[in-house]
Amino acid sequence: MTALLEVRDLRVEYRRGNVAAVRGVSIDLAPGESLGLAGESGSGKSTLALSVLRLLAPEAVRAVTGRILFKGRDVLTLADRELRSLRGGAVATVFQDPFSALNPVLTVGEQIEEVLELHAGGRNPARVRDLLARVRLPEPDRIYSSYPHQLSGGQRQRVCLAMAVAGGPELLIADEPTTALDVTVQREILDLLDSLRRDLGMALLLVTHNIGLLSERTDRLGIMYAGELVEVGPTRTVLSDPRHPYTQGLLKSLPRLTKTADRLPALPGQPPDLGRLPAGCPFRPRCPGAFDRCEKESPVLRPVQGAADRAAACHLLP
Amino acid sequence: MNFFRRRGRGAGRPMETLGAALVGGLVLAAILAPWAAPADPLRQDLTHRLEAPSARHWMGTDDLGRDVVSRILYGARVSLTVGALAVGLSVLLGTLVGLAGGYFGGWVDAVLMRLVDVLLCFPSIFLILMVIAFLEPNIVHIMAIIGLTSWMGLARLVRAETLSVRDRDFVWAARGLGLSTPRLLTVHILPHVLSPVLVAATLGVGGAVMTESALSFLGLGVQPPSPSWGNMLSAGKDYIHLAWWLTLFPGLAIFLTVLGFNLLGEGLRDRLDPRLSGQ
Amino acid sequence: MTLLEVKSLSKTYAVEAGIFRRRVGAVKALEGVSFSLESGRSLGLVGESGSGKTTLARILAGFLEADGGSVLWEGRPRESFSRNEWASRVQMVFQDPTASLNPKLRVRTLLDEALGQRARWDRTALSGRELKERRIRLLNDVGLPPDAGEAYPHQFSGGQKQRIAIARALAAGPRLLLADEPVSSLDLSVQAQILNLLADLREKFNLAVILISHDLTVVRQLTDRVLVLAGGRSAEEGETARVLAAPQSPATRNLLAAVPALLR
Repeated sequence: MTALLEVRDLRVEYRRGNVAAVRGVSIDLAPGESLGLAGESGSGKSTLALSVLRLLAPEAVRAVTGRILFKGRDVLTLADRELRSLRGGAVATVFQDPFSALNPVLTVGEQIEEVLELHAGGRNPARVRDLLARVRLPEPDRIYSSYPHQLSGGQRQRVCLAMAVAGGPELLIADEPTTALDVTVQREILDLLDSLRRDLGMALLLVTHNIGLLSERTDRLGIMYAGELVEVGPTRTVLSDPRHPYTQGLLKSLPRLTKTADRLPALPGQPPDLGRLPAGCPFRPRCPGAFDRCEKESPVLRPVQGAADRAAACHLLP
Repeated sequence: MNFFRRRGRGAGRPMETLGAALVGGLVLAAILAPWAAPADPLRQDLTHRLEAPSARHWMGTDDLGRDVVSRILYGARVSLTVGALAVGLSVLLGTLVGLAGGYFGGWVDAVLMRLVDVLLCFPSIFLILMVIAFLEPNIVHIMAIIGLTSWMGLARLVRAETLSVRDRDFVWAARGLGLSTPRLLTVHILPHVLSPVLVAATLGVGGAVMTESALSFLGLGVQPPSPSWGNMLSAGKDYIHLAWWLTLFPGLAIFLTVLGFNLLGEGLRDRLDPRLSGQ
Repeated sequence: MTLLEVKSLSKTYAVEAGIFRRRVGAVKALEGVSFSLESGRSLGLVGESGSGKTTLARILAGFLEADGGSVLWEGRPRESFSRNEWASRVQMVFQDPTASLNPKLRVRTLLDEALGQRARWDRTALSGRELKERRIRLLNDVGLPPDAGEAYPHQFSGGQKQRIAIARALAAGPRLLLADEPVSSLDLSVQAQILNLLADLREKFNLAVILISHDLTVVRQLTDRVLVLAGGRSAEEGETARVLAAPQSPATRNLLAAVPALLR
């Protein structure tokens, strides 16, 4: 089975501070699969997601190496015209802030028509209304002629989703799609994302810092730390039986609805400054099991013993 | 303010450097005038009137035989003094009014902003001319009047910045500590309002120099025989066909000075603006 | 002992329109909210955005005036306290430490400012050395080294900045700490540290804490009792463990539903 998206050894360096935000990440995504990418600030998850469509500001980036293959073709070397037809077409995106993602001076209907014009053969008001209904917006007619500022945050994000699926994408990249929304609205939007994916057979790359959100909505889960992919595997097993000390420590430290102790088992320290990474494993300063090898060489992502579909990057593992 | 962070912009950097160089040159000229000037700017030599630029007089002599270079250098003193002090006054007034209006809001803000609106309705040159007509034209009066008629724009700028800073959490935290209003304004708010002020002030010096030159040109500014680039232009205009150097050099001096301040001001704005909102 | 008593608190915002700014409507941010808090105990204030929890927090912090109802501190009405008297009793820790610390001031200046206020309220004079000692002790209390004072806020990570913000609040010596979403802006791997710190400090200084949050897991970890707000009104109140195990109001149920299965 050929992967829909194959990232091979991606490395992204920013000019500012000479920092490598993504440091040699390889990951695959199968057609129709949903992959969650979790990480904190500095993990490189957003940079990775934006790189898939070369959406990083060219003046901010010093170097991008590696390959990003979408259906076998390297996005990083695509010609401009082909890249533009990919964006919004076969690969669509949804970002964190729906307000700034929408043009304030155009009506919602107008903006979705634009997508249809570019990627679906032409304007089609009926299809727009159809899409609006699909994203569960009531009164599609009213919404069609509304401006973004007249809608609530949740509604705007639904509009962004409508625009994203208008082009019939095979892959949807969602970068923190619910972070800016009310907590009770988040669930609805994620549910919607889920159902859209299943109905349209899209693959989904869901990037978030909130690991809890991914627990029910993704087939596979990748954990990123300091620009590296430190653990990956089926969501359920990664969360129930984490192998990497970071994943383990993080999950143990999260507060739950059932209180187990007065003090949480917290991970010490903080995510590293990418400009001043320690030698060897980036997690070493915070790792309870670190030993001398951890300081000398950075661990490589290797399959986990006994589970072919799981991998982790840790010297402690056999 | 971290001046050493590079922004990587293309043409901006050399322009800013040019601006700084021009301003630096002006300041040096003004400070060193008494030593750098080859001759006494007031010394007349009627046997050498209207001489073209030569080895002895690099910029020639004027209608009374006075050395133009020396007069240009002393004129720089006038321009710089007027520019700095007039802008200083307008910064002081504008910042006070802007801070007060922005921070206190309510009727204080309403009154102050209406005052600003009213003053902005008058073309400043008109106001200046009216005042100068009544007062005797001397450098102090000129600085005062330019300063008093150019603070309004800055007040609005400061008010806008104050309004945005006032609602930031660290100001609330300071208020939550019961800190006194003066301390809040000076320690917590003012430093965040200064960047646009610095930019506006730098750009404002160019304007002040232009205004002073205009007044002197009209005979309402620095009075002869004291040299000012403006009055040199005025005297020189009668000899434009005979002695081009009498208008070229003062004109060039004004042009380069204003250019210098504008470039410097814009360069500062580029440096300070984006990081201000980010930080 | 009852430290804080809130009775039927209301706050309405006027909606103005037109050139003459006439009042065309009103938004009831808070309506008849009541609760009490014992000394040294903790209360969670939960609700979605628009529920009124932020308004309530700002009124308790003294940043806003209520329109109706009363706030009593050990029986005395809030109005009978001066700005400084209230500040010496109630301090707030804000959500985003990057925004709540003046970026142009060194950490030591920020802390000294607060320590100085406390000294003024206590009518004591602090020598330079005493001030420094207190400051170092404060930094130690929040888990930061003594030399942290020399740096500027931006030189610290999010979690460290929040520690500084907590230190500043503590410097004023309050008996009630209002923590407004204290960990929402922080990295997940650091949240537990700050929650533990708040629990430690609460014990050490016998602080009463009002924790404002939309995250029920945080509220569960840190509070004894919880008040759920919805549409400016009190929807439910009670012991945290019980309310979360057996929610009575739709608002509480909605918030519970938003908690991912992983964290139940």
